[in-house]
Amino acid sequence: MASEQVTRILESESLKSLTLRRWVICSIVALYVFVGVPLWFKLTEIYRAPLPSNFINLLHSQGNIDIRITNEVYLDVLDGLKFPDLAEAIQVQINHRLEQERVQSPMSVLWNASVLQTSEEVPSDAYVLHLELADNEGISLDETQKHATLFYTMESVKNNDLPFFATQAILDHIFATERRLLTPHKHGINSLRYSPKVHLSFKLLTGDGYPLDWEIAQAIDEYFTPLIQEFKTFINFTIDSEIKYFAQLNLPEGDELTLTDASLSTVMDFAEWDISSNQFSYPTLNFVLYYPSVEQSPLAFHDNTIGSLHSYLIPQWGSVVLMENSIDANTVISKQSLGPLLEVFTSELFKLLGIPTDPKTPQIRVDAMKKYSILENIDRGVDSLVSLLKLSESLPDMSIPKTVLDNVKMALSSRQSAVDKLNLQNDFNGALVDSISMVEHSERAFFDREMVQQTFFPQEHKIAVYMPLIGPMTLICVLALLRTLKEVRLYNKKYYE
Amino acid sequence: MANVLSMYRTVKRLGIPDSQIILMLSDDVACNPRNLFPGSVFNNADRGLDLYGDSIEVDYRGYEVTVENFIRLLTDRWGPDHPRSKRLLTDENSNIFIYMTGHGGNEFLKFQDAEEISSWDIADAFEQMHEKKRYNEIFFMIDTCQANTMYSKFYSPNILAVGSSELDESSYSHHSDVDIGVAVIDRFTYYNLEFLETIEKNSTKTIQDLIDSYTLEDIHSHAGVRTDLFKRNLSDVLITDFFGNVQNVVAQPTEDDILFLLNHGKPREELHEDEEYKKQIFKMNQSQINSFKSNTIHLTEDKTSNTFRQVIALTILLGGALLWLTVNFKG
Repeated sequence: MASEQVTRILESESLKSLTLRRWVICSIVALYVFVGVPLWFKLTEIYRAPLPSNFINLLHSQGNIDIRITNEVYLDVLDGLKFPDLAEAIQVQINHRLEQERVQSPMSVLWNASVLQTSEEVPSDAYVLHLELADNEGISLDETQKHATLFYTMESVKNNDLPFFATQAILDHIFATERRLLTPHKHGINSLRYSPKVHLSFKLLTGDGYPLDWEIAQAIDEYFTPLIQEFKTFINFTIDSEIKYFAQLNLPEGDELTLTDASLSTVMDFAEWDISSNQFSYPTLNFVLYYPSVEQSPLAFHDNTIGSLHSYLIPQWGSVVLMENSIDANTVISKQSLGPLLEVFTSELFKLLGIPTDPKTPQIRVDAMKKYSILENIDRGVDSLVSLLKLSESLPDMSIPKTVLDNVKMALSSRQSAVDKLNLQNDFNGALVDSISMVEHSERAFFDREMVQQTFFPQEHKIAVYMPLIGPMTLICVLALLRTLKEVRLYNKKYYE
Repeated sequence: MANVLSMYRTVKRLGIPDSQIILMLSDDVACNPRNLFPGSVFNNADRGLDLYGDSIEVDYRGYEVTVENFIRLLTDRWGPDHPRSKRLLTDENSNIFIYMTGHGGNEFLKFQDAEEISSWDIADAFEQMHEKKRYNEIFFMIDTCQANTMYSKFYSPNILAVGSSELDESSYSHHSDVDIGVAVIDRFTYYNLEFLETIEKNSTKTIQDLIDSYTLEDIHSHAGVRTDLFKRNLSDVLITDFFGNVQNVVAQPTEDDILFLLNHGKPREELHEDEEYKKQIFKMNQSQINSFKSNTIHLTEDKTSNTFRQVIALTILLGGALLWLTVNFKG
């Protein structure tokens, strides 16, 4: 049988063509195995950019150990007195106290205050501690700028208490809030997450349909501008206003009712008011002035405090001020009367942004919040990067495009730049910008649109997908190879026999 | 179709605004020319409840409803120009209710004509959401044939899942509307809707009550619940935690002088009047502790400028802690 086959082959083909055929088959198989398979493997390989996992994990585990926040405080001795070494004495005292406190309740970063003697050049927005001779010791914080005055007596100079008092003033009063914010604590649920842009939408709502107007634009120009200026380096506000008619309250039918805090959540149905706006890619806060309709007024409030406005904070959404009585038709609400309203809205805005309520000086509060936001942004960025790492480990078949790596690198370099600005230049505004850029890049890396399950195939799917191509080819190659081998074996057997 | 719309109706009725609802409808039945009742979709042959209603906001319609888009929605992986209203913008405080319906099978749900989503796809998407802290709790409800297989692969925490039918079990439609010629709603959803219609915003009914309302006689299949990933006890979870938006309203005292303080220094007539008034508001704090007589208000003139400096002195240098520190330091 076998010999017959060989004979037939030898009869049908010359030895030369037989050899050639073997060579052809071998070369095709070789091409398939050595070129085709690696090429196919290479070309269909999922690209996974090498993420700097060690560094990111290090950042995550170490926290913000490399960040140092230093606040400069200028000493200004009034009354013509001179204490040449006071600044150093205070500094020693401050360092000592911070050292002690670091053990008891560690802050999330290294924090320090550096005391400087007043030179000619005091920046206009610097922290200044005035020392003023008085009858008693005392401290007063200026509420309109970042200045504080320490009152002292000659007695305390004699007892060398002055550095101690100044330390108290700086740590426990000027920077009390900031130091509290920077110790680890839980984020309140009422406030928004930090966003570099926030939209403020002022709305006048009425239950009736009579025409109304309000001088909101003028009022905002007049009263709101300094606030916008103050926040310029922290949050960029965009503002619009709107008047809506026929916005009803969901008052239960019937009897005399009193608005309690609990019932308000169902009475104010702002889903029905149709004022949610989604037109911005950043958060919107709504500030609503509501006048009830004639039928529903006057509203009876549970806590009838005379004279104050009934304002209600709606977490992460905004604030509503309910007026007791309806408004007459064709009224124009004047700029002056909007003043107190804007004050209430501003106070609510501070709460919605998570700005602490003390001290009174808005600048100090915004400053503290700014520093907190920088650190929060950096933490958020690192968190996103760690999540990205975990994700890339848990889904080994997911591609990690180059853009992700680029964004990760950008995020890390932004972080570095923010840290440098904090540590070396005390440039908080610059650091904030960098920290925002870090959050953006890290989120862009995490939310990269290429990294969706549907755009990549798991490994076992890959073979299935290419089966129509690979299957016939492999079949032909393998069968041809087998046949040739068989032929060779038979031929040799016959030939050498 | 009526399945989804009935859930849409419920959550909207309970106060969740359209901006927080993502509605994906793969087919536009209401506006289909073959619909005998243009612009309406009913849950019942008696046509008492028009689910389509006056205002409906469909976020993804027709061929936009794909597996890819659904996964993108959950994981928020979009191009930079994707509108905010079509994104699921949630954070670690958000409760998410996900309702899916359609033709399903063992561990898959069909999308459109050719695609399907598998239970692993959803499980991985949930894990990514968990990783990026995009939810607090998820309530996952699915009404398909063999629906309970769909949530079997979930592995991320805080997910509560219910499904209409077990493995190898069909999910049945409620009844057929002879005028339209099709079955309008599935049993599982119909009885869910029936239960949820009784819920008001201030209702104290819990998820446990909802689950207890499922009976084999009504649904004709074994509704399943998966609670092992969920931390809370179901009888503590209000229906409105997922289906409603009971907006928390906080009444707190407000400050009334932030703008005033920021406006200070810029001469304006109205403000000057106020200033006189403000000067009389003092916060006094009179305490005496040993030698530190602390007190209060020093009305001074600003040394650097001629305008009055606002001085409302809060007194300080108080407290035992302070004294203790002094002693401590000096000692």
